[in-house]
Amino acid sequence: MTTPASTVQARDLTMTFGRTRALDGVSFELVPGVTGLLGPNGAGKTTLLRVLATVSAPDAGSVLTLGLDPRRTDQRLDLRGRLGYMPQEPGFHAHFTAFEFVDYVAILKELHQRRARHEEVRRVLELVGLDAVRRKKIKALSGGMRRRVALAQALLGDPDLLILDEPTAGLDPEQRLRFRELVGQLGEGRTVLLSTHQTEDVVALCQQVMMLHLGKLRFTGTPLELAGLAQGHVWHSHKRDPGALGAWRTGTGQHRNIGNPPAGADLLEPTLEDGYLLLLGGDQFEEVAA
Amino acid sequence: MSTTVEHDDRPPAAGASRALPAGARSRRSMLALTTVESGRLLRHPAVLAATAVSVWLLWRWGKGTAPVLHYADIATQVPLAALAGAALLATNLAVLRSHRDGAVDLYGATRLSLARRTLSHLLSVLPLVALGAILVVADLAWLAGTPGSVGSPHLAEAATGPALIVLGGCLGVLHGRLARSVALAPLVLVALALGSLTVAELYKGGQDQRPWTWLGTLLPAPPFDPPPADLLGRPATWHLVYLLGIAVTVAALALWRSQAHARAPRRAQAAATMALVAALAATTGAAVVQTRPTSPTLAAQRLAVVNNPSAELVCQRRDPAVYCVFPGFEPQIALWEPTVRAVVAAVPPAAAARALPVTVAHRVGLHRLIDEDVLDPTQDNPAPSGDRPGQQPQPGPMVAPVGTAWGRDGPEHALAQARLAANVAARLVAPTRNDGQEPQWSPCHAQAVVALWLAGQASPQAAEGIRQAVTWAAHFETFVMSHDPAPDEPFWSVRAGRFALALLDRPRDQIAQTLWRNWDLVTAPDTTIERLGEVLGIQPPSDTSNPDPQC
Repeated sequence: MTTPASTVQARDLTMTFGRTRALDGVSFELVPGVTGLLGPNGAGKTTLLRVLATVSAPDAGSVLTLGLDPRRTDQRLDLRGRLGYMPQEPGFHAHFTAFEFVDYVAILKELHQRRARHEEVRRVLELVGLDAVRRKKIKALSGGMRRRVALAQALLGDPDLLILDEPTAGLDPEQRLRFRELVGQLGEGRTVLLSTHQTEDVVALCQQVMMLHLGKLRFTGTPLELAGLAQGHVWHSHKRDPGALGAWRTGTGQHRNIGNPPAGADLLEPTLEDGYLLLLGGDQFEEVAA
Repeated sequence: MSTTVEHDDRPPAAGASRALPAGARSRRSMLALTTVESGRLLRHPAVLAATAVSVWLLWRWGKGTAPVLHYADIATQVPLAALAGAALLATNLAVLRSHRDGAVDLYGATRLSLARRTLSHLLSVLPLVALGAILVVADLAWLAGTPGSVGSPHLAEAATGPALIVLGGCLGVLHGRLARSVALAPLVLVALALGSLTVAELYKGGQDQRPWTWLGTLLPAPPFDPPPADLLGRPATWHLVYLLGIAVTVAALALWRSQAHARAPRRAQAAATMALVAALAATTGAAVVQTRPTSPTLAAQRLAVVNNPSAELVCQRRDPAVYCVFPGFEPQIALWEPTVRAVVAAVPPAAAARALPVTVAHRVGLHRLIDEDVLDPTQDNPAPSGDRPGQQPQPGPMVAPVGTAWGRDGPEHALAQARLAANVAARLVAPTRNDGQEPQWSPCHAQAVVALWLAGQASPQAAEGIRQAVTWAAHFETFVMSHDPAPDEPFWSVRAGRFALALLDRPRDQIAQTLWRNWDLVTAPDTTIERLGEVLGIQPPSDTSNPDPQC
């Protein structure tokens, strides 16, 4: 079995905003395929993605992406030509049509030959299923369509690295399903880093998962491994167990508890979400994460 | 164990040409962005509205005129200032688009640098500048084809309007790079407009006695009839250099700011700095040159025109008049002839034969540009009234002064026609006053009423001009038919004007027959307005304390 080549190598990334340490010595490697980046609000996910997308430089640490060092101007520009970035809020120009917006970004990505650029814009719009509405102004598009426009611009130039910041936020289940299909296809042969709150997306799409909390990387591994962290820490009971870190009433009327189970508890098979919640749970579970 | 992906030999991304060096690719992308931004700028609502305003102003100000092209070129500048203001607002909004819409992160992950994007915004103004230039050229071409058009436009004056658009666009970009608030550009625009209006008013008041006013952006034409181009003395070329120098300075500052923000290569920073220094030097140099006092040669030329205008004019005999015009203004003669003929036709032939040919001569308000202490105080000819300019023309044939502005439409042009008609009529009813005695410039008493009635026969516009002049002078005792009277301009009593208007409201034949029958009486210098009223059987307006102050 061959080891996949890493496309991103991050070492001790640190970034501070005032008194807040958004990234605190984050180190990881990414390989081709879809990697999910989980974490609660304020965990530092967007900051990490901005660093990887070369939008901002870290205060300390280094990152080597696709073999290029973004600290060097020439390599940073080369890298920008090979990555696609979909920010959480892309900043649509509402008076642009979908075509105009993607075309504008294509120019900023230095796709300067008009005819070829327009072909590329049509290709990516077709890829995300927006070819029919490309002449519509963005302000007339639904939220789901706008997310697809944002994805389309990220796909310009067929990038090796796709950085997607919460691409499924605000989408209805059907739109999310379509998005998953699309991202799943895109993950074949390229590196996709997907930031999300949705653990279902990670389960459905990701071969790897990273979890960030309070600027620190708490977990890297497969979704199964993340779920496996909660092995023996999920049980159900008729009432909420007072010793549980977290619990909720399920559709069967029983409570699903996460934490350190009491003796004789009726243990359940953990999910990725259980592992994720357990990691967020508190200091007493640090050893689990370790 | 992971390994690092090395730089591979990937095919070029669609739309990009990897064969091109990075710099060339970036430059071409910048031009592509310029094309897109230009298109958006030209379609911006503010620009569309300003274009409509500019076109309307150019059309409105040119409509019905017999243009003097070296004044018409100056008149293109204010209409294009509307486009300059729109350029400021629209480029500012375009530069701030990424901030307004929250697309800074998205743009930040793309290859095209902030400095190149700034340069694209600066260059995107050029098609709007071209549009402004097209409007100016079209306007001047249209005016040049108008009957009676004289003179030639000055390239620098014609280019000043487009230069203002360049300046407006560059200011919009700079403010976008300095501050992220969209409220700043409108405030700057208002401040610039108020400042320009203030300086323009000071300029109009002082002309080139206040050369520092040229440090403003927009200076209108002097507020009197256009003189010959070589007497204008506007430092138009240096002012154009000054404006473009400011524009390049502003553009270089915007680039410099972008480069500082985005850690641009040193070579690019050095180029921007050099451009900034060169532009500042050009601006300073032009500012110094354009604010120099009027040259002694030009001052002497102006003085000569004021002291002895007849020496500067070329004359043509075209019966029933002799027309004396500034060289190059000959096409205006054909515009005056119908007015002169109509006035002469209203005079009994025998009386006309005694007075003809009447001399019609150009006069312009150049005395405004001359320091009062330069004017010759030893001039022998006394002023015929207390309200005259201090200088008198050399003795010579009495002329009917006429301005260089002429047209078919509008109150100013009605006044111009009334001026010519009334001044010709004045020389017809009082032809013997320059007989070696002290010149009597203005008809008196009944003469004045008859002359004004004759003038009203020239055309409906002339009659309207007389009506305006009398109405405007309602609170005075006398009036002239010009905002900028020449030293030998006839003055008229308001009472005579009111009586003439009353006569103009009556049937022409009825008045004409009575006047012709009693011509010697009604044009005699001592015949009073009351006596004229008796002859015509019409009660004249009531007397005032000093009904004919100029007599």
